[in-house]
Amino acid sequence: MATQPSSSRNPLALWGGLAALLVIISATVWFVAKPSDSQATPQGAGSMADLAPVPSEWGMGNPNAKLRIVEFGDYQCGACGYFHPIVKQIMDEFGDDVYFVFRHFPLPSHQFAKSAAAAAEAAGRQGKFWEMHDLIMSNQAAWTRGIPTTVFLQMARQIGLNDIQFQQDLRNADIAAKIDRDFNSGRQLNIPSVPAFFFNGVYVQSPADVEGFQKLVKAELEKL
Amino acid sequence: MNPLWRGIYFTLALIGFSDATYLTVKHIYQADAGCLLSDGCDAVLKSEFATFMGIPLAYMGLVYYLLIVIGITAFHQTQKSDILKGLFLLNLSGFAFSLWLVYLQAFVLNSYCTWCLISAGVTTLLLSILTFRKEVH
Repeated sequence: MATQPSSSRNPLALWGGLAALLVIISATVWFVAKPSDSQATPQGAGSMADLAPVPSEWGMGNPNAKLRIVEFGDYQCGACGYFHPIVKQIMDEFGDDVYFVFRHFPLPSHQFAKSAAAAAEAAGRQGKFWEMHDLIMSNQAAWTRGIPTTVFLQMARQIGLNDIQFQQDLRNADIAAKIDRDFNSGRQLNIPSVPAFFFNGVYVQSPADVEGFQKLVKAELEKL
Repeated sequence: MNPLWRGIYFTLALIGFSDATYLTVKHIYQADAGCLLSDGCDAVLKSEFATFMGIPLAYMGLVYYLLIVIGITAFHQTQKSDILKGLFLLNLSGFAFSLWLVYLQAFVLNSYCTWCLISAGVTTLLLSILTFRKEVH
């Protein structure tokens, strides 16, 4: 009996204490992890200014449309890849009434996100930003697993870009600065995650599917 | 297993339990579908690999750490070495599973989930503690 640890004399207290401890931990973690509204919605202050059109931005649809959707996206983010065909479908349908702008928000945790953004920008210098954007987004699996720059070069050839110019532009300082500028404008807006969509400067929670997106756009257009 | 190691093991198990609870809550709420700036990529938790045979890994992790916490408490009370052997086997399978999950994150999904990596780390430590206990052998 002497060799037994003291706690064995009172198993009820031991197990009761453990149960209480686990309940307290669970409740605390639950409270912390539960998504709060303030966390999901970035601060609106200054959002209009940060989202104002800039001369170098990439947009598609009708530039004079009343509804301006800005997406902050990261090419290496699976969720952005998921929304890519959804956005395309929306633009096919509402292209006359909507202007869609893509801004780079390469997350620091994605090692190839910045070079992917640079590849799209480099293609943009030869007038094929959206062609490259489509290829990069719809082939995420191909380039995130291999050597991305090689894949980007293949893509550049595929859409008929000038090889040498493209490769030079990949390392262009102005392009890097532009990507940083996009990223910083997203930071200013406190965007919590990518993709982040702004409808006329107001952050909207990403809808789950095409139908959700269509409803959102229709509702927004009716308001205008 | 002296009280110090027992205490360390118990504390680590509680950390693992909190981590698994966090992932479970995230899973229940299915927070924003996206890649978080602060938290790495939610893609991992929403990927096809986030469930195993239809069961969300977060729930499995929760049960796993719960068993460990209960096991080490039972050992503390009874001092039966069989319990430690059982825990060792449990940790071993947990470790093997973690290796697989880290592999998936590194080479298949190309994005990491911080909280999943913490769990893998905790399981590795738990296993190494037990590996060097004479009761286990």
